[in-house]
Amino acid sequence: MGVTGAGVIGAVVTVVAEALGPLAVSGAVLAAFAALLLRRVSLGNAAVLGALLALAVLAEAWLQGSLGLLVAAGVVAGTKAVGLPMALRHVAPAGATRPLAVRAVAGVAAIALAIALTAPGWGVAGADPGLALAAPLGMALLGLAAMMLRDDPAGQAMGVVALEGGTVIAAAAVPGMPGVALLALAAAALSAACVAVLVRGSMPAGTAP
Amino acid sequence: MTGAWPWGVALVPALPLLAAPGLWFAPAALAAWLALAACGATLAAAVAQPWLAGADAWLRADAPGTHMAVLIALTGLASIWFARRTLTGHAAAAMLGAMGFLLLAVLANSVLLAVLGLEGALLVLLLARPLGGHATAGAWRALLLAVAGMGLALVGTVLLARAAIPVTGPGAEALRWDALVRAAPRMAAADLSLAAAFLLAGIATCAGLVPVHGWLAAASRTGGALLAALAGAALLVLLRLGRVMAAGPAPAPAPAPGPVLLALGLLSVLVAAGWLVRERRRRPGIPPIVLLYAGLAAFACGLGRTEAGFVLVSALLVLLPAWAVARPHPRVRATALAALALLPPFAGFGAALGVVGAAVRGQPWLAVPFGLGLAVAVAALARYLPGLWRAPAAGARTGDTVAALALLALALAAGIVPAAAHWFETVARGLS
Repeated sequence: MGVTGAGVIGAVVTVVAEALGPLAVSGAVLAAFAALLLRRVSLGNAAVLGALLALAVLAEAWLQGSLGLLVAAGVVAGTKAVGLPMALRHVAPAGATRPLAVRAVAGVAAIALAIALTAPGWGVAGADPGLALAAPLGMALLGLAAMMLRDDPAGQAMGVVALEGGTVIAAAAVPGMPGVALLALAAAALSAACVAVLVRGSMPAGTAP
Repeated sequence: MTGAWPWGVALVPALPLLAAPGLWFAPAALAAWLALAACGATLAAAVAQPWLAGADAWLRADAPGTHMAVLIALTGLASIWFARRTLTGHAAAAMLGAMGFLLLAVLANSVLLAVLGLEGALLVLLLARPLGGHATAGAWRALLLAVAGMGLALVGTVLLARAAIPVTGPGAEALRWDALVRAAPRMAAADLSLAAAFLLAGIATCAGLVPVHGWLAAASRTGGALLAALAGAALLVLLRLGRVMAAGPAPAPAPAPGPVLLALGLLSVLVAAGWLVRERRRRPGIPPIVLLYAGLAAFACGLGRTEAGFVLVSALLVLLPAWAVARPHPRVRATALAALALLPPFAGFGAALGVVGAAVRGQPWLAVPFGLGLAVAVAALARYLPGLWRAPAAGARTGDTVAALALLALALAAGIVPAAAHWFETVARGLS
């Protein structure tokens, strides 16, 4: 009975992934919340959010042994951790103009709604005992709130990243979900579309939809 | 169902999607003719689907899908024909790309693929136009709305798979339309409701229904008549979702698509009527007309008159290129506008009349604002007719006139030939 080096490394990586995955998801939710609350978002905020999302998907890819999720992690890293922050350099700096209290209440409401919708015995019929879906759904709703309540293009773009990132992590958290890589590509296309508009035109401040 | 050539169905979206990148680099003189050839081949492939009986794991050519695929290909072909003298390689590539994604959406036997198709078409229509200054700000606002809608649809797709997997098992089956209909009675009602709420919100954005219609104006410059195709494709996806919901466990999961479509349809008709009245241009633009028809079709489907919804969408797809893109003889253009204004004897007239009658019988309180909105919209469109009829014929193109007459003949046949009514009933039954 021999224990190979590769086996030990694999076991260690699995332990790390098991610990790192939830941490990365939690960090991404906090970063999404910060994207909603901060008066002015920076390239660093966007890059941290993108990197945490990519890390969360990568950990899930390792744990599930899924090539599709590995591709998804690469797509998330490329578009959200690198592409969008670089595109934000083309955006004139501007801050959120709506009161902080409004954004904070909306953020708390988004998280509360996500927990309510996925809590056993509340919304969804007891299919999510570990609330594994609450965090990504909350992140998606936080992103939606940032897109609606912020009026600076950089903050809105961060909202897009949170919305799409939450969607990809939610897909990764559903065992047996078909087409995760395709879904990650679709989400990346939405972020890429934002990058295209940000790069092609000089964005004036105050462009709330 | 696997037919003589199961991969035949993949040809329909693949042809324009493969041709589009090549057209991007084609010189303007050649681009229109290459695009016409690609559209012609796509139309032929779509028309051949009943004989190919194509189906694979991800795509399926059922009656509603084939019907919409033929119409989308015809709209693309007509639009490119009418714009052939001014079409650049970039514009041709954008049109074919959008068309390919729409064909993917209507022929998809997967929720994910359908949402991807709608998303692709919407992004192409929003992004394939010059930006700068106010255009960028407008495009950004429209893009944010579209991205929010598509994001919600993707979240809904994940939630739907999560609801289905305990019944269908893991893998592609969890998102196949036909498998979902079979599995729906055993799915948890709350899970199905949550997924449907997200999907309804997202797909309604693609259909351009009020209150998520803000992107229509931004996309009209690139999209032209293909905007109508996008609204039609999104409505078909909504109807497929409605079929899954209707098969759900008792008591029926909420939100029921019927009342949602009724509400969104009514609001859209009212907003479109106001938009058409406020238009001060020489002729009405594409966005309010698309909004009006999307609202009418959604209202019809909400009332259970799915065949009328298909007639209205089909009429819009056939008539819009003849009205908005072509440069035919002014009287032919006026006739196209009369048909779009739901005047007899064209297809839209009978369908709209039937919807009003069904509303009076089934939802009398909704029939009043609906009928009022419809009457205002028809009057707002009809006010342009005398001026158009008397306009000088200088600048009219014979080729455009002949093609527009052919499209008008199709709309007329759909309105007066009994076999057409049977066909639309068959298409509507194909959903249930």
